[in-house]
Amino acid sequence: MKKILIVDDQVEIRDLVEITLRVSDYNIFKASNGEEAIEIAEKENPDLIIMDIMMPGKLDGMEAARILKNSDKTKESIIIFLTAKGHKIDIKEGKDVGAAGYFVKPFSPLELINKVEESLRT
Amino acid sequence: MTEFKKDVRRNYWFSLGVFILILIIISIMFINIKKKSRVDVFVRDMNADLVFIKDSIFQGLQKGDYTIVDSLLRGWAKLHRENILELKLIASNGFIISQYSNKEESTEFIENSIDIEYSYNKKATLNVKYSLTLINKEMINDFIFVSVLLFLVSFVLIYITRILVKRSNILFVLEKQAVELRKLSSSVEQSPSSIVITDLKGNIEFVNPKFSHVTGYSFEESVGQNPRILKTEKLSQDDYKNLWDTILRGEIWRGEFYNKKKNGEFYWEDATIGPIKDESGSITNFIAIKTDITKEKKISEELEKYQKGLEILVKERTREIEETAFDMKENQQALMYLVEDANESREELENLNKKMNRSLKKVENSKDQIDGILKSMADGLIVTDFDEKVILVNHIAEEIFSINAKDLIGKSVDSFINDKELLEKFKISFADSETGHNFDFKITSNNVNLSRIYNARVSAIWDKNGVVTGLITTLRDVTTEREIDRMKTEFISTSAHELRTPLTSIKGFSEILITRKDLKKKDREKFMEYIYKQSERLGNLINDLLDVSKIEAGQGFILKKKKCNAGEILESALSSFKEISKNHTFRIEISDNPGELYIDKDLILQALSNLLSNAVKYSPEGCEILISGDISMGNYVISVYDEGIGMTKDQIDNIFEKFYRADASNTAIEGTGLGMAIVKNIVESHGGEIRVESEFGKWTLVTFTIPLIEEKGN
Repeated sequence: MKKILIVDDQVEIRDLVEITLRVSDYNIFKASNGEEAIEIAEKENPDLIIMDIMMPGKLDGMEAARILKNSDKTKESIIIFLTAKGHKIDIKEGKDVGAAGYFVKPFSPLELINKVEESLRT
Repeated sequence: MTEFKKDVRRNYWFSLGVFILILIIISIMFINIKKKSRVDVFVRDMNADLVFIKDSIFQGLQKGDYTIVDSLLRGWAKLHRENILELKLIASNGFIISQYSNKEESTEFIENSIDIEYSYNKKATLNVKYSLTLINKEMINDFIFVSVLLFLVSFVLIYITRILVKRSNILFVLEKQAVELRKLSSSVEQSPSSIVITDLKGNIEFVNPKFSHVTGYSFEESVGQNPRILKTEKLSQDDYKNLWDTILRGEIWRGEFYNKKKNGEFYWEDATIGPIKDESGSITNFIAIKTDITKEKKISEELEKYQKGLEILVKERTREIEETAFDMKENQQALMYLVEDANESREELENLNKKMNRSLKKVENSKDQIDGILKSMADGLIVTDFDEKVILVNHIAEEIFSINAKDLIGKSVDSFINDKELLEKFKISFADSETGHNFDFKITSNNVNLSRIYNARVSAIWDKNGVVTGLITTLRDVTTEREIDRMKTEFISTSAHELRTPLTSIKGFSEILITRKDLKKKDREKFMEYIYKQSERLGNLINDLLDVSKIEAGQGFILKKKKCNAGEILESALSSFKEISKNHTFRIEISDNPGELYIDKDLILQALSNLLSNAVKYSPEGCEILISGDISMGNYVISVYDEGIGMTKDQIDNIFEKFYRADASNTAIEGTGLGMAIVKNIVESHGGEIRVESEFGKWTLVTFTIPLIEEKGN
């Protein structure tokens, strides 16, 4: 069973993403900030991480993704950003970090699940 | 022998010629001997004096007298006494012939070669060596022998000649004439004048090289020709006749010819023509000696021309001078009239001067007025001339730059703007003044709160003719404006984020509700509740924004006041909040005194809700939030207290600014930055006051008052 980690500081969004993913059998983990995300990722080694950018705490989503992609242990995890930051420059930064996808809020759950399934297949 | 002598005497020239011939032969032989005898002179010093010595040495050698060589060298050495240390004549076998030094030595000498050696002193000592190989004595003997032989031969020859002369006297005479002619010809060869010899008919027998040079006809071309080939029409037939008559009479003719060269060029010649007579006095030939005078002719012609030109010029000048003298008389008259006019003008000028002084005073007065206005302007002001030198600095500008205007007048802006970057900005806008360039700059202070931002605007001063005579720079304090601008920009990005978050839930959950038919009933209800809550949040946000825009527009709130009980209001606010924030504990303290308030209940609830929401947002989960109400000095005092992250003094100072968020970097904490501004406005519109106290990292207390209803006998 594929493991997916959902990182968002808002519980509604975490729930929304989880419900969105419920069409298939995934082992789902949740984190509410960057530090927590890294902790879980290192422990569980998820296949895919859906990451918010603007979160409280020392590490925002972009920084957390950068750390994960630079770590031998977690660099294989696919990262998809899901954020309110919709500027071109933010999207470029996300791609540069090594994300497989970038969704701007408000997003379409259908599109998200398509992207997740497609990413996990390859 | 007497016959021979007689013959020789008779043919003196002939015998002399033979003698010279023999001398020439001897000379040639001598030269040959000299060449054979290998006389080398090595001159290592290129001194001109030494060249002289060289020639002299030859003379000495020719005479076979070495004492001449010796004495000449000594003479030269004496001339250069100061520089000569030692001078020696040394034979090639090393024998010293003679020596010029302190002690003199003389030696006997018979050798084939000598060396001359001397030391030349010029700071350093130079040695220059001359090596001469002299004529072998045997050679000289041979030479003398051959010479004597030749002389003998010559005498023999002369003797033979005598016999020949005796045999044919005519032949002898002819030969004598030939010798004479040859001699003559050799002298005429070199002549600088053209020489032409003709026979009696006038046919050319001889021309010299000069003739060929002048006319272009070579010797070969000329001989046999008549001088007529040079003739032009300048000289008349009579002139030629006169010439011939003169020379045929045996006299000398002198005159000028205008002749033509072979190449067609014309030239002037000064000619002397005379006859050549033989011993008997009969004419044998004619000789013409001619000089080219074309240049002289030209010069004299030109001189004549100039002379004529000069005469004309002198006449003209004389006339002009006469005319000028007449004009001057007229001018004198005119000057006198002018002096009269000038006297009249002076009076007018004095009047004008008085008027001008009055105007000047007026101008000075208005200048003072303008100065006064400029100096009392609320904005900083710097006026510079076209050289960017300061003309005027007002009080505000003095304060901005901490300068004294008196010290700056006439100086460049460089003298008080130390910041290179700022100076550069000034320079750029000075250069761009015509378009009214403006820019912001910051004057920093040790205290961050005292740092100010100024906007400098540079505009040109134009004179009547549209020429830029200087620049006016106004400096406006835009610290507050810029701060508000910054907050607004921040607010826009924050509210975009804030609006997006609820919208995400609404969009996402509704899409799931539409597309998933297999959802459980419980989930459906939960999602719908999410959607409802988030749309409510969106609504609140929009309300906040509207409130703020109202405050911004200066409209304020329209209060719908009703009588209310303070305690009830507090209870009501808290109970609705308890529902939302389950992770905090809430406590309420209300005094027993019932506070009767006349308020817009909804607005006060909104204010309370904002304060409670802040308390929840900025304090950790599990903390207690205290809300209290009491009466004090005719006011109802409400306070909200939390033990959260607290605020710095700086943050407290800005808390009521619109769009201000205590920690703007923490975008994760929702809020528009409008809450406290709205609260303050609500409180103040009710006639109350609001105050914030806090300790950073520990607690925050917000207190506001609402005036109580004055009890009128109730």
